[in-house]
Amino acid sequence: MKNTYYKLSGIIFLLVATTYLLTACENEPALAESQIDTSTPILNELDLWLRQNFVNPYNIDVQYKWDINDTEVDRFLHPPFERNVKPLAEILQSVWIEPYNTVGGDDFIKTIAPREFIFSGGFNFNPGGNTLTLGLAEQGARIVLFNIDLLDFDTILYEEDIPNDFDVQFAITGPLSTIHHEYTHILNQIEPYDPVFDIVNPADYTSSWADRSNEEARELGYISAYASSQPSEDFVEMVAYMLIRSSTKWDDLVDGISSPQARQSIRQKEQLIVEYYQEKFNINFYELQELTYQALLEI
Amino acid sequence: MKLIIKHSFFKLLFLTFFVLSSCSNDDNQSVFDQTPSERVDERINELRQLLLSQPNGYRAVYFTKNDERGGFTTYMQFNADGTVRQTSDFDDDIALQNSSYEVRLGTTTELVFTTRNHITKGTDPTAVTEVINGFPTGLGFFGTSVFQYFSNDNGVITFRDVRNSDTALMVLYPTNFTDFDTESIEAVNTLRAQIPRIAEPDLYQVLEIENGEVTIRYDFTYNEARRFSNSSGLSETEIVNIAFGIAYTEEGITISPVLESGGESYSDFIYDEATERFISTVNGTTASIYYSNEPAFVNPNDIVELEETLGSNGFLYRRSLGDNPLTSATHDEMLAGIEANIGLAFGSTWQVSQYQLVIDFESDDCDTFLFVQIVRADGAAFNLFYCFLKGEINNERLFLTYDGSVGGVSGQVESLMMPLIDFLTAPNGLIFERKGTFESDTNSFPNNAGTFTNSDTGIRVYGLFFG
Repeated sequence: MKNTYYKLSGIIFLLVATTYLLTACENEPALAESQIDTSTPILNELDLWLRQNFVNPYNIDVQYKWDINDTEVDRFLHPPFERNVKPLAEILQSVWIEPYNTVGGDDFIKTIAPREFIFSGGFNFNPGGNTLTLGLAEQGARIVLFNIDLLDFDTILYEEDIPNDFDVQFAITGPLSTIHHEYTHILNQIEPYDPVFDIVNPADYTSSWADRSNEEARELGYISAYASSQPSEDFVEMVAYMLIRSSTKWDDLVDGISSPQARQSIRQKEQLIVEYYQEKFNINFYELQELTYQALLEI
Repeated sequence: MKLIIKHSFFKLLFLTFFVLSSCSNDDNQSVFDQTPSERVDERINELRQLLLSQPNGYRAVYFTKNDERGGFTTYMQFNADGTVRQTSDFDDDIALQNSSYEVRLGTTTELVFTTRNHITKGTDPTAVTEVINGFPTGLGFFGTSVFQYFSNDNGVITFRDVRNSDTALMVLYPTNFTDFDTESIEAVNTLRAQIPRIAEPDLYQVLEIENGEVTIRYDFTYNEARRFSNSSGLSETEIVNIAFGIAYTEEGITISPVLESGGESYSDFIYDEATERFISTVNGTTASIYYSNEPAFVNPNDIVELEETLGSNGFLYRRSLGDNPLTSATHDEMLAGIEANIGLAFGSTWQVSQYQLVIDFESDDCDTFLFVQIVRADGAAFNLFYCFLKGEINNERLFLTYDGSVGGVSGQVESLMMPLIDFLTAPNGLIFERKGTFESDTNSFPNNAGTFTNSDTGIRVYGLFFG
């Protein structure tokens, strides 16, 4: 009898609850058009070109119109001149996308790429005075390139050939190095590199890397001063240095180091990088180097 | 046990009723008669229409951060296709340029200059650099490209910058031009014509406030690169410092923050050609900024230090040590005149390479003397010596009396050197100011530095002291 009472109570409860739930929304109006403005923004010729050449084929947005939230809000940065956007975007196509797609497959960049490039016009000075941020790779999703308004698109400069290393940042090799650098970070986030790389010459990594010249760093077995900051930066700096140079130019740079130990360290790290590209992505690194360098010459 | 189950069941039943019916008595009264998104859209459209309502654009006066930087004027003509045409007085590149803009929702309704143009010079870090840790570091004007829409007062639109919320302001005034391209360029040229009226670093400047009973004078210094001024003066009890940013106007200058003195506020200064002063008149009182042959305020300790130690150590002006803007152009013109006259008298070309002034305050036996070195084009150097009676200090000024030359060559060119000697023997005395340690465009030394100024002529020289 008591069991029947409980069963009956349960059924009544269920009926009441169901009635409330099913009738709760009956007086709400039907869904209407969105109240949020979803109209297409004004697209100029450049916007359409970027959609056709980056968004549609690669799902990459090249964002050049200023949004203060795309960069650190406490920095004083400015948008680029519109006229400098397309030339740099074309260089991204020829020197970065096409070589990788040639050696890694047609969808290589479409599959592994930052989803957004941000172009910023001026230098990004770091507080403290002695360094600049040239580019940023954020979570593999976004690459930010600074100082694009100051580029001479027709000049190829290498820091080992000029008295003031900083002048490279005014040549096209500056941002290309930054792109290869940041993109390798993204590759490393997809496929970690061999930890053996970290212990090839770990003794002289330092947070005070800015106090070293590139030449001093090379004599310690790091390809650049920034490479001597930590192993992950060392890896991507090595890749960037190799991909903006011919193999001959690269060999000249390494062979010019006086310390045999330093040369050996750099060559050992070079070998690890070549193996990384082959094993993780089935890419012949030297073939990629040849393609990126040829594309650089053809800019 | 069963009782507990029974109680739990009824608790659950009541709770369910409460939850399901708890909102049935909501207050449906609307605070706004539009949805949030509709209100946002309305505000965006309001600003967009406002910007487009002036076919010949706006004059935008933008103070980027008025506690460290001044203001800039940009003429901007907004177009419906999302482009904006601009010229400005930021620098001497005043050519009209087109770029993009958007009105969008950010922190609030915002006007965003999305690609580079004149207004974005306010965020160019290379516009103002400082050496930090030995590295030229870009600071710029601390401006922004993103402006928050604040108010519309009969077509005058005010924007703020959320990053510098208390110190930045951009106000757009309708230009009332009939031809934007022509008239905006003309206007910018007029604005930039104010620069030499206020930005000659080698001349003293005075900020003077006069209310009919009291005249207060401040030493006014202006940094044109930053469009920012600092003034210092002496009150009854302390040294008073005043700082404000400056923007050029077609009639003169406008300042921010406003200058408060004696219960009055001064902001707009009109340039008066007759007196060569920027003058702001409020309720019969005036504030004015002008060039002067002498500073408004000199630290009285400076001349004491000259008398006690620096004078006898000797003052040196040497060209090879580099230039400092505190040396007046009239000083260099004076030396150029001497060099030309020596050339006329003796042939070849000459340079006054250096001079030294040693000041003694006790003896008249040529212990106060001027040593001058002149160098001929072939490198031959000639040393000249001129004597003075002991230095005297009256009313915090140095008075020197010339007492003749020493040696044959000195005598031969004495008459040619008189402009320099006259400079040092100013009838109203020389004003001496300590200026820290020596700095020039090419050198910096730990030696004490200072300037001597002839208030009759305004000629001023910057140099170092030995010892």
